Amino acid sequence: MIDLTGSCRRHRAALTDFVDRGELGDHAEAAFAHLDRCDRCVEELEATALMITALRRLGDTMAGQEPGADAWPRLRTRLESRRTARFAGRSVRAAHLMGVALMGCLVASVAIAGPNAIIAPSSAPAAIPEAARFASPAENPSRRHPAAVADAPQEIQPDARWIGPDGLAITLPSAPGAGARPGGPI
Amino acid sequence: MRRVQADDLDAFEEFFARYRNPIYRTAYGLTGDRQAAEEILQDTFTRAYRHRQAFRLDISPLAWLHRVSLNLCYSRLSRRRLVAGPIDDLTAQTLPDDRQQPAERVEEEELRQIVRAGIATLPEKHQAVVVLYYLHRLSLQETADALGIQVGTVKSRLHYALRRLRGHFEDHRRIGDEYLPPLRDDVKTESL
Repeated sequence: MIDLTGSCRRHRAALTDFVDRGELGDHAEAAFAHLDRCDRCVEELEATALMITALRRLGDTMAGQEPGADAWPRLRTRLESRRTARFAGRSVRAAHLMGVALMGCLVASVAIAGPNAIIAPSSAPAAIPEAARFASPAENPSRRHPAAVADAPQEIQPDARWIGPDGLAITLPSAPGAGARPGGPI
Repeated sequence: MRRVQADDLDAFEEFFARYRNPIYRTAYGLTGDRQAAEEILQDTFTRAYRHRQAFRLDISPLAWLHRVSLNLCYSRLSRRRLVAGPIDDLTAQTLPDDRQQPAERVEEEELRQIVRAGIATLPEKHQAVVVLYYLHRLSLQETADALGIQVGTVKSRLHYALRRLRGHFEDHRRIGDEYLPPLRDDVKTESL
């Protein structure tokens, strides 16, 4: 790059404005007078003019250029697919949060009320806690290990009833070894 | 702009129609490639859509759009050495005019490359002024309005930018024939 002296530097802006826009400002006369006696500034001005011409020629290649007719449809499709992806991402996050919240509720209820709280909530019909009691090995010796059953006292209540997997009421036998009788009234 | 911010795609279409040409022209001028310019246009407006909430209502978004498109242009130009693009109809249209002499064509393209590379070396705010004023041929006042700055600031930025560009040009003139436009990989392979 051409290194300008302080004197040249003072006139540089005025000369550039003249070359660029044909501006004749207050300092133009003094700048022209300087140009008559400074070869470095002549060289500088020529380089500036060349640069400006090159920039404008580059601008000429852009003039009148327009994007294709499908530019907006393509962009719209792109934006809509991004939108959909964003909403889908939110749904997945919401599902994860709901799952975590449900698990939290379950764990909290177990911690507070014990395992029976899940099997038989307090608002369930009276038959359900009763059935849960029978399903528990502590309450129902028939669900214990055979070795434990042999030692344990027989505590089965006759006519105790619970609901089988098919939804029908089952009456428990009054004596060990007798089969259950499905279909009885609750 | 409020409708754009409220996620109204029809309003965004109006926004796109208003600003697409200057952005496309900037991209085309700086890359010299229609296909690249189309992609830069898409990427610029996709970013605009993503950041629509951050737009200020009191100033034109043109300066922001130009800044984004310039960044995309220069990141694409720096990748061009590595990526070989297919020659299709769009790329074929960018081939120079046959009526021009080959030597003139090469010289002119070389000059364009030097100018593009020179603009790339400028700080962002000077790039924006040069692109709007010299490449888009806006007036000083229009450039100042588009960028939300004073006319005097536009002038001083132009002086600075011209000085830097001249330095860049001088550097290339000094190394003479060593400066060549970057060859694409497929062309390199064919010449081996």
